[in-house]
Amino acid sequence: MADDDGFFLPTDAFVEVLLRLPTSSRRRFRFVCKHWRDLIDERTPERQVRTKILAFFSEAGASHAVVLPDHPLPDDGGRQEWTFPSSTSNSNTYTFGYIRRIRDAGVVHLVGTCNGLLCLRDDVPNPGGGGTLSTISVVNPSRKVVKYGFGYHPTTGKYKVVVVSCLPASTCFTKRLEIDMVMVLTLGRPEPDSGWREVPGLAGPDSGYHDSGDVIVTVDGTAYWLTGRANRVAVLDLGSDDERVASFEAPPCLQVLQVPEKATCQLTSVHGRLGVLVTRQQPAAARTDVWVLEGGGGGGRRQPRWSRRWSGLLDPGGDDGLGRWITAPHFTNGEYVLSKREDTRICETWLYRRKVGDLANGSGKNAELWPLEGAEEIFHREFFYGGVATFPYVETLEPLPI
Amino acid sequence: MASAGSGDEKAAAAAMITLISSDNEKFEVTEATATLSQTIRHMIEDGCTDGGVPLPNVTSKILARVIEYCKKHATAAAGEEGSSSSFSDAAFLEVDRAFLEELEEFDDAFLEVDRATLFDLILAANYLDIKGLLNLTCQKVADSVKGKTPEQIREMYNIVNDLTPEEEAEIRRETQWAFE
Repeated sequence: MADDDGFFLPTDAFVEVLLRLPTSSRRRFRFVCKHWRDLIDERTPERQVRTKILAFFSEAGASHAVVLPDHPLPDDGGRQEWTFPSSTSNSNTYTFGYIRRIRDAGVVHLVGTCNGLLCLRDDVPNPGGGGTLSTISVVNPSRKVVKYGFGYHPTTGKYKVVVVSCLPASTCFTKRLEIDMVMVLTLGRPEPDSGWREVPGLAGPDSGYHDSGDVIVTVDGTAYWLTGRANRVAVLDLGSDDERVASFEAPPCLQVLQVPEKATCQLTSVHGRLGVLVTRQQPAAARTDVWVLEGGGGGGRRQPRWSRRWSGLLDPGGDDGLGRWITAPHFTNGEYVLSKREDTRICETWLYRRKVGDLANGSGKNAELWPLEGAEEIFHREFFYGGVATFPYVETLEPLPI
Repeated sequence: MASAGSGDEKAAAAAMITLISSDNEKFEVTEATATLSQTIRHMIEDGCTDGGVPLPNVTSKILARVIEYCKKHATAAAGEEGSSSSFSDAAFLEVDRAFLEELEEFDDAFLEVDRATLFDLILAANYLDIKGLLNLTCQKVADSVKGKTPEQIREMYNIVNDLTPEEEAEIRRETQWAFE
């Protein structure tokens, strides 16, 4: 009886309780009800966390993460940089020049970032292959293609790693892979469900995995990938207890375009929504459209609503590898879109940003923009191995439930 | 109880304050105990405690607990003052440490109450402006909810989710925006 009295505290006393919560809990409790949301918004310090760009350079032996400041300074000021050596790093693996692959050194990859937490994967090239992840080994003896994703579910507060393991491709050029197994791991919290769990996947002709990017994209606690023919989006809700893969239709253009023969596509996040970058090859240029999931989709039965937010020409640069491309998986940062240029002859990488406004709020709807004209260089460095991927990063001192 | 006598007795008598609960029960406490409450301290300073201090927001059950807390912590405060003016040799430090441990144990035991009592204690601590008690009780509530999901919070406290799906989507987007 007394325990059913509800949460009746006068505002001042309630605020005292809210102030003693970690920021992460306060953020989650905005979902409880209007009263809680309003008090948290109005009476507790909302840390204005600004997402920064983390550029990750995967290199044999040791990888590098560079966090770029909001306002890049010409003298490299304000940058943070970390090095992540592979467990099999070998000082002899550093060689000057153009080296695409060094067989005897491990490579650390960044799977994803959530709330300032980095999920790394160490690909160790020992006999039989395999990699380690959160001290748990993923043994990969049959040279399967394994894709990883790292997501945070905002209402359950759980961090999960998603692994999609695909059967070896028949040729190294195919992008249509057959999925062998989908697995999920919840970080921390040793509970009965700890350890890797196999998740029921899709079946039939519209299953499979479209191999376009390096990582599985997670947005708002949900993991997404494109199915083999890229005509549907596979979706895995990381907050649900009933973990299973569902799917919904990809943007309409992907139903018509022949992927990958005539176009390439890649999932990304656009201002907290799922986005699809569709790039069509045209003479002397490539046109990229950005589609944003406005609603629907997910695991529900509602039809997905896609809208084309932005379209632009990219310079593919011909065979010399001098073209500029949109970066992934972190493609928008605040009001900017990011792009990169990789010169494989001299082993150098540039990152650029260009202001376009909020792509998800309609201001840039169907706008024709050339993202690279007038783009501002924000980073430049030499690289040896695998090029650059961009991720969102926030600095946090919050204790994480890991 | 305070009869005319020596000056010492008078001083002791003057230092007693009567607190009156909402159900009209009277509690006699020393001024040192009562002044852990900033609210009562101000009343004493304003000289309006003659005839007792009515506390219409606090029941006798809760007031008894609050006084129990204040007595213990007033002793602690006095102890601290005492030791700071003395030699801070090892023996005193040892005594201090033992006393702090005892105080911590007291606080832990003090918080072994049902949720309704805990909330009433917060209300009383807030109304009487007792910083230590407010901190202790609010932290207890915060600790008990911090790992919960919004759904678990609603179940715990019978809260109805009155957010529309649109508002919920907006919160998700805002949360995401901060970390995209």
